[in-house]
Amino acid sequence: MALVGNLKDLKLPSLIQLNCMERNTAKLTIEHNGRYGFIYFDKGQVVHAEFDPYIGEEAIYQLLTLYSGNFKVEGGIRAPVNSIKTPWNNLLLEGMRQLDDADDTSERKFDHLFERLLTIKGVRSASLITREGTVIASSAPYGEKYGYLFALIMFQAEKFGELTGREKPEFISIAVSPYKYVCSSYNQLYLVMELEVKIKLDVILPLLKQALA
Amino acid sequence: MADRWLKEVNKVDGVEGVFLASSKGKILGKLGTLYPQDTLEKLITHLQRIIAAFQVAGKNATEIEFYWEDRYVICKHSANFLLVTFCKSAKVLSLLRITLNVVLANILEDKKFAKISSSNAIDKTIALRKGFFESDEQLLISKLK
Repeated sequence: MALVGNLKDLKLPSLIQLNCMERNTAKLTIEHNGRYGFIYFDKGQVVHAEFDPYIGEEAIYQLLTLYSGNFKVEGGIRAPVNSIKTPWNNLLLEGMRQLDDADDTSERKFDHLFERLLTIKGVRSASLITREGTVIASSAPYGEKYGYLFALIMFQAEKFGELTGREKPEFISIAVSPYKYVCSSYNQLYLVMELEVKIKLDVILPLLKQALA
Repeated sequence: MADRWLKEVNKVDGVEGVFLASSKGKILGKLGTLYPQDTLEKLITHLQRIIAAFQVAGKNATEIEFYWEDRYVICKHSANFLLVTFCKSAKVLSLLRITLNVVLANILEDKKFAKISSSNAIDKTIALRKGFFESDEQLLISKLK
């Protein structure tokens, strides 16, 4: 029987470690925003990986950057080719080192922000948008005009705040069945989160504030 | 005419004021400590533009909430009405939402309001075409269409 789950609950390094220590021969499939990645184990060694367009060790390093995505482990499936010779523990160490190096970049900073937000119950996705409506980072696919829509919404919210003699609102929540969008300013950007419509903003507000701090 | 419904909302602890407006932006009733008429009309314009932006995107925004540290605004949008409530207590938000849902359901069942509603029916996207727009706002609207 296949082991299935999400990387939000079981991180990829733990999954790799588990399969290697159990000396498994298996295929691990990861789906992240419509992209697929594969890692093959042979008697507890990582022997092949693919994550379009990467193959081999680079595919592993790219897959290690994912913080969410559905996964499936199928036992008994052998790799079509052997593209990795490095022992699995060295692979993980190198992957972690690369992640640490990348931590200083703004892209990774956003990844960490998204990771914190996506662990809050009911938060489905998060995006960062400029005042001009350009989406600069998103945890999920988005439509062509998504950025313009929410930049316009935030523009209206700020004007609404000014008229009431206050600063711009800390948060604005808009119910658009079946979802709810929660928007906030984040540094010089707009943060847009998609929530399940039943989630009440005031209930998760302390968690959101903590994640944004 | 709307007073009896607005009273139900206004008597919730922490509610500072409430008003009911038509989709055309006409204030049909108001109660409590609110802003001057011209400010309320401008507030309605921004709410209409939010609703219109979602309409252009093919979506119907039914509820808009604004949160400050110690102030909350809940706008319910249904049929051709906007029910906007200003509140200063986070503790009553759940009760307030329930009250607003009940009040809105009653308003929608009221025949007099149904008549007003039908006579106030408009293409909601007009809010993105009519009125004064700042240049940044105009640019975003043009890219949205």
